[in-house]
Amino acid sequence: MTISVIGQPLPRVDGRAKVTGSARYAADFNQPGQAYAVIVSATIGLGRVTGVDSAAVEKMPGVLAVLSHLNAPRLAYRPHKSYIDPATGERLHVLQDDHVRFHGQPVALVVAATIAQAERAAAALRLTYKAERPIIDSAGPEARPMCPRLANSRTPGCPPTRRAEVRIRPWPTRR
Amino acid sequence: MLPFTIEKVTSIEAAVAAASSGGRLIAGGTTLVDLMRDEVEQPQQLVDINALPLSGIRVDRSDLVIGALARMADIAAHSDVQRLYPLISESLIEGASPQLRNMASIGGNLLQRVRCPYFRMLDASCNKRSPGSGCAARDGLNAGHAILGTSDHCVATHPSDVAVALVALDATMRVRGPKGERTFPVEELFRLPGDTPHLEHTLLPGELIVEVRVPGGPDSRRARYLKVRDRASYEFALVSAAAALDVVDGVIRGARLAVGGVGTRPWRMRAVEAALIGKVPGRQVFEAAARSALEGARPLSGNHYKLELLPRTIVRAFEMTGGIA
Amino acid sequence: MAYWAGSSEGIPTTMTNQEPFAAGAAETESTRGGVSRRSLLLTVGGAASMAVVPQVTAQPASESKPAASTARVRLNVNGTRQELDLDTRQSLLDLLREDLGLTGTKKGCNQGACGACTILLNGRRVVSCLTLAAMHDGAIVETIEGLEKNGELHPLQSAFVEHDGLQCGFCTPGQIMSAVGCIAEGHAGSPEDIRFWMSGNICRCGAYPGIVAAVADAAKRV
Repeated sequence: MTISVIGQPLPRVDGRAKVTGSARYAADFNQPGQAYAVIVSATIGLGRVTGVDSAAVEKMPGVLAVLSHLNAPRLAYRPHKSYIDPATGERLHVLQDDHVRFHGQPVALVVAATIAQAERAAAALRLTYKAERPIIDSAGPEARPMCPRLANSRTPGCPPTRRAEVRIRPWPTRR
Repeated sequence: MLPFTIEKVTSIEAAVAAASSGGRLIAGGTTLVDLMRDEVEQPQQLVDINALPLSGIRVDRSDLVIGALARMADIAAHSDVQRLYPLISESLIEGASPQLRNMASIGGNLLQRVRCPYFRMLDASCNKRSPGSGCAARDGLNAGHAILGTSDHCVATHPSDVAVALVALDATMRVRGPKGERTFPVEELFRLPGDTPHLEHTLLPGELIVEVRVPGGPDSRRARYLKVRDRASYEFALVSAAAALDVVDGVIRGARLAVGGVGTRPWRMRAVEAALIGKVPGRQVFEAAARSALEGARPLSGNHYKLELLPRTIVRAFEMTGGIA
Repeated sequence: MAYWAGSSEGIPTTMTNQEPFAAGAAETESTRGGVSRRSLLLTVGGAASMAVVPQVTAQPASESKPAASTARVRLNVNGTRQELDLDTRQSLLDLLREDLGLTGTKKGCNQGACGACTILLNGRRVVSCLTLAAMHDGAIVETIEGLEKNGELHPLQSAFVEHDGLQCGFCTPGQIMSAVGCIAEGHAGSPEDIRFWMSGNICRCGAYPGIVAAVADAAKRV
């Protein structure tokens, strides 16, 4: 790249591909022999998956596999977190255990030979759940504060809260 | 989507026969295909009626006659509709999106189903979808739901815009079924939920909408549709109003008002209309008349704002009709 | 190895705050799992098929058809005749993308709300995700792939590049096909008109000013 292109109104290099439909996105790859997977999402907000009724779905046209925490490969979620991982809390461990932590959490994956077969099979998959009641009122009596251990702190539990005092002054306007 | 068969019919008789034996009529499919994909609707037999000769739009003496299969876009763009019945054009283009309006028929628009998220979520309690299962909206997310015509069983709003305009203009509809034809006011198509929210309209089994007839008149030309919503386009109404005034020598001689977004069906407001007759049009007159719009209104946990927004929308809609000198 | 056990290490998890109903949590049977975005895995399975049949006489659209759960559909797609046997549930969108390999048309919401799947069906812009292919035997379909003629971009395509009417480009094919319809309908006469009559197409990147400028510009040239 040379300095001569900086500041110049150049057309996008990907412009032609995008306006002709030839730019390919993740879902646009149809390789020979490719299979398709559709995620099945939890319909409870908190609790556990108690059953995955996959027997009938596995026999549906084109279905290659029904993955859930019952048979998914173990993934290596190592304790170390990279800078993109949340400092507090934990990453979602997909299909690794029966816990449901949010409505819509992936709880199964249906794999089939075509996308239409995968979508239909996923829609047909029945799961049973043991639903729990989430605590969603942070000011309510059941809520307990969660405090991350601060890097240099040796004190367990939550530090005492302090209220910040803020004085608001109008921003001086230029005349 | 569950499997289904589809047959295409080319005569109204064949459509009626197919509908009478359990077939589900499909025109544009913009409501039905969406709900079938979610498996809220699970018809086993579809009857494609798009080849029926029911898409005409014509003026018959002073009445506008619209075939049930006429597309929303075509009706709205029709020069006679724009010139003589601008309320119909306006209410049509305020609904859906340009693509959907190219696909959707006016018959299907009247019969469209509610937008309540719990209706569309198979695991939620919904008496309309699953009679007896309860109503999750009553204590759930209900900011967009109705304040008029609700029951303990269902509080979902009827979403059509053009239906509100048709009700305001005293439009009638002709249907044909196994026992022949009948004609009735469009207002009578829609049921209140009561304790049978799964029954939404008064069509008898096998009946097909043939056409809608809008009577012409001095007020049909000076009617306006105001749709208040979170976005400037492509969004359902929080509150909407179809309003018309017939003003002679500075005095209101006739008034028409129907509202949407607030009722479990399009809501004609005859008390408000009556309160305007003989008055000089003006904001205070409109405000006084609009107060009766809230009679019987029952807000939900999330839609109290509609008690304020409804009268204001009515006032603004009347102001828009140009009734003010 | 459940990470819940790690709560004693001071890594808080949402689970530590929530307790089940004292009386025992409710057993819920789900009628369905929700279906959401796809991911791609590999190996095994059939390839997309492309059936091209030369010069099939077009089926008159008004002919009646008996009830069936599969359908033979003949379409003219971007000038090429196609003939396919389909499940009646197949949307026109999936027919284009999966059966014909025309992936330019995008699946955004699959419920008619985003406009990314917009194509021209018999000259009119529609959302192909809510269009059952089996209902359109004999139809003419135009997609983004068919706009370019003999290596020359359609004025709208050039305008979108010139006016930067895109960023990620995912909505762009739908925007352009919708704009073709918008201009043909006579609804591109002013920026206000364009904004209203293009409102069936959503752009998550927010390239709307460029889109409006592109449509306004191209409308003069089309």
